[in-house]
Amino acid sequence: MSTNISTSEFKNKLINQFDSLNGLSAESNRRDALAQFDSYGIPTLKHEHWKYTGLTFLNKHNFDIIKKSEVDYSVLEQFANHPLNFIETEKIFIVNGFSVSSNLKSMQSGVTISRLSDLDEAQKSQLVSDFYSQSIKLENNPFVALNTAFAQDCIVIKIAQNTIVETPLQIVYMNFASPNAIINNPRLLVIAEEGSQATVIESVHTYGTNPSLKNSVSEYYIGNKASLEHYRIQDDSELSHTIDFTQVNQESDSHYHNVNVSLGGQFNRNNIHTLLNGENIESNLSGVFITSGNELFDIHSLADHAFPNCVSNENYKGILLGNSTGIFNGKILVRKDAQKTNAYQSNKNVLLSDTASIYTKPELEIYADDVKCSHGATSGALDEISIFYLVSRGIGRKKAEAMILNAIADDIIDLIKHEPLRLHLIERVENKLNQ
Amino acid sequence: MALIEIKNLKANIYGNEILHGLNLTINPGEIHAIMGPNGSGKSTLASVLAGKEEFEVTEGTVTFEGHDLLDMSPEDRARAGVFLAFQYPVEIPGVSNANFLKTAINEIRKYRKQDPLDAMDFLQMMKERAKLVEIDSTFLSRSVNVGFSGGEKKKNEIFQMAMLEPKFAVLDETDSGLDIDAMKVVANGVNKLKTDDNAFLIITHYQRLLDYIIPDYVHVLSEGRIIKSGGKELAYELEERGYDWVKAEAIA
Repeated sequence: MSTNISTSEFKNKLINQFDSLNGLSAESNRRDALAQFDSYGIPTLKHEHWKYTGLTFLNKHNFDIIKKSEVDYSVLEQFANHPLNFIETEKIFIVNGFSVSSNLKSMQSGVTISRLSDLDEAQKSQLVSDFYSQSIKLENNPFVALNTAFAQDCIVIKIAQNTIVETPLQIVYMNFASPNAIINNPRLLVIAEEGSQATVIESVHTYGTNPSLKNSVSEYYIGNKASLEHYRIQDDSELSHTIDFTQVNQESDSHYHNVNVSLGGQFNRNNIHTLLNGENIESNLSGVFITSGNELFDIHSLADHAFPNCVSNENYKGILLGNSTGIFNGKILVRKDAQKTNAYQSNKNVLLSDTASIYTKPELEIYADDVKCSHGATSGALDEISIFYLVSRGIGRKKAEAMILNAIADDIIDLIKHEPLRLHLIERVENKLNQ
Repeated sequence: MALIEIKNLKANIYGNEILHGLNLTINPGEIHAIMGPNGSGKSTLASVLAGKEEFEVTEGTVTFEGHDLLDMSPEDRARAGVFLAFQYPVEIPGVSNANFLKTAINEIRKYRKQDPLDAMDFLQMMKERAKLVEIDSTFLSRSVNVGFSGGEKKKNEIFQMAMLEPKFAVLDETDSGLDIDAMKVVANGVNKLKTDDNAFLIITHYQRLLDYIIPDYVHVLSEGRIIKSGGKELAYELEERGYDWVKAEAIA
């Protein structure tokens, strides 16, 4: 089915389709993004941020760009019986990067959900000049550039000032590829205005016969005193490939918490950058991944402290089985003015097989002199002393291992405040670790 | 029939032989104490009985209720009724005491072909047995040994013993690091759990625990062998005179 394609052929194939697509942003922005993508090209292992994250699957699967008219929305039916369809949320469906028009109205007051392309010119140009693509850099970010050049739809979620959103907003990304492999470029813009509170859940679901690549860019703007809980769930199949870039801009006194739970997916690269763009901000990134087979999970994070008196915490845990690979690269950047910064970072990994690999690299870059920053990373096999303690009380070895691994994962999952989602994930992890 | 019979036991760790032919027989209803200087093999004996993999048995037998104990996996030994109170209890973050013990009890019950304990009975049992070792029942929902003081960890060992109701329990230096009040609680727990059907092996450096748990037999372990056995008065003599005279006697 699949034919090998060289990296430059793949790149040129995409570029050649550029003119036939209806892009989102101003033509000059798109052209600029395209030029950035063209000049950087597809990263190789020689690029610092892709050192351990091989992209050979791009050559193998020959992904095609999909047009709006080609989207098969009947795939929505396949999600109907998924447990995540039953948790109480307000759902927004994105199929192959395109929103489903029927569910673009929020039931909740103070919440507006729209397509960027549906807005009138005045609104659109205001959003574009204030928010869209304003916080992300295209240079050295070939996949962000690719998305910016090729995104054909963008969902804009706006939470009005002081709105407390009771029901979480769930963005259900669905990938469907058949008979060709497909690359999707979904785009999301979330604006949580001053004093608002909300929970946003993103989940990814891949169907079809051929591999999908979700190359997504999401921008979150969190206003003064706003509070956002953000959960990203990936419990997907071997057809699933993701390169995701999330940029979070926080203003003073805001609170942001990201919990990333990844339980399956062939290739899953996450970039999450937070900009602490004000004082007294709390910014927490946490996540747990369980990989098996030949899966790869990669998280590249950046906590960018630009102002004084902020706190950031980062806590990622990995459980690796089979021949899987995990990559953690977490950077804390404390700029010159960001005095009294408190930044903490931890990455702990358990390798359950001799052929699983983990590459972990914490980075601190500090230009202020009155800060508290710490980081720590551990990687190793399961602690035999702990296992023996449980076994010596009559618990079978397999069960003892599962108990300890569940405890590691649940430590992160317990951070999810939405109870039905939390309970669903605890159960999923338990089943997965008992397989 | 003896509850446990250890014959000519030789064991090594990473090639160093620690036990050089140890013999010990314990009957139901008995409390035995093993004393001895550092490095004599006390903890090795405890580890070998519990089934720690790093220790290799090269010779000898251990028969527990007529079964070859050394042939059993560590979990099956526990299920059959062997319990080790650890010298250094292990912290298990994220696993609550309640979940830990419920899992353990039900695995043991499954092995014995009994139905699992229902949640209410289990809770009731936990509360009762917690009183026995004077621990606060709020600790039951906390992670196993995490944030516990040295004394609380040792009490938790005795609490686990009370919950699992072993036939044969080895207390590996449970008294080390305990203040006198905590030691009394631990001793009191053991005394209350003692019946005519079970037996205890108390491993200790010092005689003071034996003021509260009165042993039927005291053995001196030196260089991997039991070199002298006696009644409880032997413990006092050791406390007063040290171990050298026993060693000298053994050589002569």
